[in-house]
Amino acid sequence: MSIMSQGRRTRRIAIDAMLCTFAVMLSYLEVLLPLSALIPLPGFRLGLANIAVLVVFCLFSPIDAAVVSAVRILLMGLLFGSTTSLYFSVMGGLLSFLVLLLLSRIGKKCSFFGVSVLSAAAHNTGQIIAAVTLFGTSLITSYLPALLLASVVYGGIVGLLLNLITPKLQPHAAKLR
Amino acid sequence: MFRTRVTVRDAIAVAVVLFAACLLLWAPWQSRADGAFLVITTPDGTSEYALSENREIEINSQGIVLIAVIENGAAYVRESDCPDGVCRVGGRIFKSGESILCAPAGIRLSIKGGDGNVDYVAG
Repeated sequence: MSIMSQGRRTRRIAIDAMLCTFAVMLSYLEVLLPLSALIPLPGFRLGLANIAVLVVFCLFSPIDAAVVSAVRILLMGLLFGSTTSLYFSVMGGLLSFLVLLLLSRIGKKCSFFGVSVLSAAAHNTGQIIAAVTLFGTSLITSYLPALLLASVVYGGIVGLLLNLITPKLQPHAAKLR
Repeated sequence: MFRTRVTVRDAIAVAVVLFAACLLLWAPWQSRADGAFLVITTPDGTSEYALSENREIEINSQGIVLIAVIENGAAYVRESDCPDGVCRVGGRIFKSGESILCAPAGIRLSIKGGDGNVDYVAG
């Protein structure tokens, strides 16, 4: 490996590590917010960490976004969750990422608003699928309508935020690449 | 990259999600008769308790302790040291198919049985 490509590889690893930290920070912020007292839905989150994943997906690459998402899920599961919650997060994150990949092919006319709503809805659906497979019954799907409605609200808020900040981040991301 | 102004496609995306939510809410196959048993499912196994007998049940799963109560034909979670706390505000369940879920602990409380009516089945 040449020195130039080794340097690029090291730079990329350092940037991904920094982005992972950003994602974990956003996830930790969600842990601190007592949302379950307001909206008692299992697995309900604001989806702040999705800000990091979407920003990385668009301004860097899908591979970097996959790394950031995977590291975030693993770290949060190990630090603040259990094996069960880790399984839920993995399924949610996986389905959300697949939807994101699909939208990057067929949904480029959407803004971050629509992408974030669909991504949040996919994340919640993935978690319900995890619950169904874990408990061996489809009764859990009764939570899904409320989670989908919540994903429209909070996914929409995150999406509007991304609509505002992504153009401002783009020049800085270009310098890092 | 995606666009940064809200478009018609975004409205379509929101409509699709809302439609899916409404469809699931008014699932025509839903049937809610009064249940007869509380079924407690954990990673270690499943146990059933009759709703006709008042009792307290302590459930320990993945380091989380949850106290479920059967009282006057309904079940609810009285105490839980789960960090989420969702199960504590889940209310009382007594209709066949209703459930309370503690995701971090992998505990599910559900109601089954009844007066011969079909339990809630989805999908």
